[in-house]
Amino acid sequence: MKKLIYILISFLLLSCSNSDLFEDEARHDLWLVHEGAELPIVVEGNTNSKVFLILLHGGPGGSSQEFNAGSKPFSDLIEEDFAAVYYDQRNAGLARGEWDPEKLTIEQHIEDLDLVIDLLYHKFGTDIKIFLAGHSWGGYLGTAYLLNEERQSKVKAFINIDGAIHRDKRNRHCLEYMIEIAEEQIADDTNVENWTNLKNDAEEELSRNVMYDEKKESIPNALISRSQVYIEQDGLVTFNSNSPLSSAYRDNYDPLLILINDRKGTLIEQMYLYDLIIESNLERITLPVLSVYGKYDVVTAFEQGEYLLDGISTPSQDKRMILLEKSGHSSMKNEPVDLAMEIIEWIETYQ
Amino acid sequence: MGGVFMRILICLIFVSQSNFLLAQDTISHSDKNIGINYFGELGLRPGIEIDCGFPLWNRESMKEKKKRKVQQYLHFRPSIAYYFYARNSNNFLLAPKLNYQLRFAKASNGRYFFIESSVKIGYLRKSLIGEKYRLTDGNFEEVKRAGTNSIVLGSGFDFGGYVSKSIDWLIGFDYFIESTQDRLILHRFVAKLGVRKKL
Repeated sequence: MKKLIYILISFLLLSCSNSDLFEDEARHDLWLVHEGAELPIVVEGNTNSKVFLILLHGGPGGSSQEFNAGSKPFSDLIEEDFAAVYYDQRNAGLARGEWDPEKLTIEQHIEDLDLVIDLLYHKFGTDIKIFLAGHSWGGYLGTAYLLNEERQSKVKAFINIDGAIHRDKRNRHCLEYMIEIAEEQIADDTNVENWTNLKNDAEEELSRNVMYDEKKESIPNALISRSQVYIEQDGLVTFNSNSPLSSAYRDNYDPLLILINDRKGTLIEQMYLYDLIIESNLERITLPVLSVYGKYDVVTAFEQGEYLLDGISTPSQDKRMILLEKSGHSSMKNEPVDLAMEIIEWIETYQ
Repeated sequence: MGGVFMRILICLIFVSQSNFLLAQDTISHSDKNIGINYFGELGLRPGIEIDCGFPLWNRESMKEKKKRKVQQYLHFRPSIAYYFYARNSNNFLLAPKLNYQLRFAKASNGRYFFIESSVKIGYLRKSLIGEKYRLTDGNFEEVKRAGTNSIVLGSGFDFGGYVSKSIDWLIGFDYFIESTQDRLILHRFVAKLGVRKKL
């Protein structure tokens, strides 16, 4: 009987020990309750590596599921080597809580992210290594987060995936880049009529020299949508993604919630003002930065990545720009394996 | 304001559930039944529903040519359901329903087939799965009972039939709108499969 009690006590102690935290195929479902929001943080993969990659989703108003449920070729590779941290921002994705438009600010998102990072250190120990990656708006948020030295010290390196780093410049960059693609396609005698019309419309928009704001973005955004259609029609990008449907039952993917919980509030409007803060503080960033863009990304052209790399003070050997040849704006769905391999290589260099 | 409205509505739902249960004691006990259903949100998120039917009104007519009885019932059906959303939440739904049933019975042996539709209003409690943390005085502390509250409004369509004198089978589909604390309107679809036992 005594033996049985010892065995039971040992079992209970072991089951509560840190060994559960660190496994080759771990899964931890955490929630951060902060300022009215309930933010889901899913840690999945190889926590034994003690390397945690936080994936910031796009939008504003997207979901971290963009890296996971529908992009298994990407997430499986990342999770094999490291712990992927899928975090949904407030009023987006699977996040819940109360609705308070006053809290939907860039500053609040930075504060939330800072607490997510602190929570990971609290939960998994201060000896873990945290890497930050952001896609599209996530790239913007990641950059904004890193402008402060204290916050920057919590992160080993940053991976900017198709990030919109400067909202205002982004419109002009996209228009110029779609003209370049149009000229290439016309020279190649492909889809000539459509590309010619698009080129003319983009040139006309550029010649208007518009000072953009959220409302005036609608014209470049419409041209971007058109160019994305032609890019797909011409087979310039590939797709390697899976149906997220099975994740709706086996995992925490909720398509109905994600579809509707897509609230930008005034975040895009705020980005136009915050551009100035980013511009004047970019040189404070000194950590290693990898910028990965799709060659056919017309939503956030690769010039956005160059703008980031040119502006930061990171030594040139620790910053790098990569163009994925067959990708558009969502390289985790276009070339997930190539993207994952680039990220893994980058993390292995700086872990 | 929204929070106050939600609290009042939740109280009303609780009161109506219990009030109707008590009130039914004075009405005829015939055709009271209890149901137990598989309750699959989005079809495959597993759950269970228990409901109870109390007759409010009924009417019967005979189709002499087809030797068939047509019966109509209006039931009040308070229900409680639980469904599991993997790695996200445990969900508890409390919803009184008003249920109209059209039953076609063979006069010869009393066997029947029925179709029914229902409307419901309810309260949904989502209890989040996982470890929940909050920053208090610079330290993270675990939060107990984190979750969200919603009001639901919905309708359903079922069909079923005779198994034995006291048992019916049932297949059904529910649709409900979930109005959440974070001011979202979510659409929920449920598939049901179950049995009802007459009391």
